[in-house]
Amino acid sequence: MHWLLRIDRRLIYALVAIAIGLPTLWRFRLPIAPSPPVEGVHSAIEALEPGQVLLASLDFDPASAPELEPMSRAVLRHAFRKRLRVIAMTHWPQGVGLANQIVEQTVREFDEITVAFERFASRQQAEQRRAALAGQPLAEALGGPAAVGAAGTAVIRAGAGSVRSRSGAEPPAWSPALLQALGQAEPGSSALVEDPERGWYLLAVRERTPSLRYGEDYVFLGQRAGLGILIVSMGQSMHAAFPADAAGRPTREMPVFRGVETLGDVDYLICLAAGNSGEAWVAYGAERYKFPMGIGCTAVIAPDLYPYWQAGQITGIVGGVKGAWEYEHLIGIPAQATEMVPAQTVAHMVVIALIAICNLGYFLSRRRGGAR
Amino acid sequence: MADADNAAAGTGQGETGRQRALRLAAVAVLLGTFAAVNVLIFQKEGGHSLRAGGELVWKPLGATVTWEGIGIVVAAGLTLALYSFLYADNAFFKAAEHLYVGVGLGYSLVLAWFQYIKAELYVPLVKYWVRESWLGEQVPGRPDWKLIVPMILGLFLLARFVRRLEWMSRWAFAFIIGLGAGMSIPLFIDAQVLRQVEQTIAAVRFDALLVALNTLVLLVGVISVLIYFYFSIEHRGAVGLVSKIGIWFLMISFGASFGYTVMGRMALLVGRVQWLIQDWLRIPIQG
Repeated sequence: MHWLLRIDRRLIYALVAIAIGLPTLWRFRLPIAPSPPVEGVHSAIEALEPGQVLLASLDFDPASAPELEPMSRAVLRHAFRKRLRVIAMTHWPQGVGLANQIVEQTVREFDEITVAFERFASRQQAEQRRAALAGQPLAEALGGPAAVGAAGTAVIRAGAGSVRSRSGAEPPAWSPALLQALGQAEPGSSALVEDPERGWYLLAVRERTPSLRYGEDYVFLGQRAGLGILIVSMGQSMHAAFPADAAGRPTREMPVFRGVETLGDVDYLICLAAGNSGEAWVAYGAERYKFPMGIGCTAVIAPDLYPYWQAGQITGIVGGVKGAWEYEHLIGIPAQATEMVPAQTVAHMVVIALIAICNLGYFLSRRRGGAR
Repeated sequence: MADADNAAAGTGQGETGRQRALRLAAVAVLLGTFAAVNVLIFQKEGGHSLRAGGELVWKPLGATVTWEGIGIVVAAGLTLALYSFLYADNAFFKAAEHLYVGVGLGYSLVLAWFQYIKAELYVPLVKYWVRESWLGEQVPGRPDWKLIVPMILGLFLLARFVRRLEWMSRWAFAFIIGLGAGMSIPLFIDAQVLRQVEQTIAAVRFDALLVALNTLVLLVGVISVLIYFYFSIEHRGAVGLVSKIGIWFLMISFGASFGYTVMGRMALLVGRVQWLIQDWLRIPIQG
């Protein structure tokens, strides 16, 4: 049994790589039951009325993005879908670009996107049509008078997962992956999409119309040094702490700040943190200025935050990718975290199996007077 | 043993001519494979140029190469170079590691200048001196004179590097520690001790089975762990038993923390592998 204690580490790495790679290529669905801490954050945001203010502190950098980006997007989608006013910021200087990108891309998902499409029985027909339209602007040509397949248009809001209007033929099923891609696609972009029930679709983005306005529906304040001192300063005056947003525009004139002078005027704060800023928000902010808040965090930090939740200092915790997956399920928009969870689950099972095997080897060796 | 293998693999010490030739051949095969994979991806329809806004660079061998695509290839190459350490230490890993440290340091310096020094000190105060006194220009607005105090304290911090002036840095540290402690201690005692003790005491409820069980676990856990860390009496008899229960609570807590840590690290790996499969290789996903 000594060989069990001497498994080459490279074999373990290979097993973990396979355990992650295969479920990434062939996804499967897992049953889900959202946990009370995640429901705590979701129901607090769900209870807000349109126009109320959500302060989102995105305190992480690219190193923690795989864990925190999915939950950040999910929370922002939830907020924008509810038409809350969103004030976003970060405490991390390395996270300014990433936080801004997440906010802007999520906002873009709420643009009204006009998609033109034609439906075909086979991929070959769709590709022939695309080849025939080579050199022409696809977005204009598709569904035009010379349409070959059943044609139509649809106006969608990808972030809300909703279709505003449509005309002509039945559009494809708007899968999460398709909505995600369309959410960021520029006018003129095209794609070939298979709908298992209806056939092949050649579709192109005709135009995008923004529905959320900067300074009115949302703002990104950027970052300022200080952490605790900055939070206290925001508690005294938001405009003194952030006289200008990340791009240098004065915040006092922005409608998004209507009725928001201090932290106490914020209706809910969500801190999405890779470090200790969640605890700082509780100590310097929520306890002192009395506003409800929740924390989204990396899995490593989550156990340290449970006492705050148990004591009622925060409404909930979204911990790691699992928490983000539950949040995506609660808002009904499966996205990044939903894609990650199958691979993570299989990897966990491999790790558990390896721990069990190695412990078995250890105890058997010890019983036979071997290695201790 | 593994470390020795890694070191030998990394430095190539003690290699025969044949081994060296084999190693170079393996490196050439790996680089060739990476290059070939990238050419195929660029040639593939859509390739790395899905976004219509991507800036066209050039079109070799029927491929459409954009700056975005080049960025993806560089990121993929560096990711694979860093993960190659899992097999053995090697030159690709070292190159990527040094690049990471250098870029990280450079990025931090640039951030420190633009986010802090320029935004908080140069623009509101120093630029007036530089441009009005030294360059003779008229600058609209007024300098924020109160920033002189933190600026001087900041300069005092740098005095640590001069032995004769080292004492000056203590003033700055005294200010930082005094302010930090004065602000943090009352707030953290309130948030992390008083509020949580209050809720632990208030949580004694027996109105439902699960709530009652939770209450009991919390109560036993808090008391037994506190007794484990109480060293003024010997841990024998009843005290020893409770202390042992405390150890079990601590072990379960460490296990939960470690489990969450594994989950977090796996998530980072999953994120990277997904990026390599979807964004770099552009392999269609089933399901």
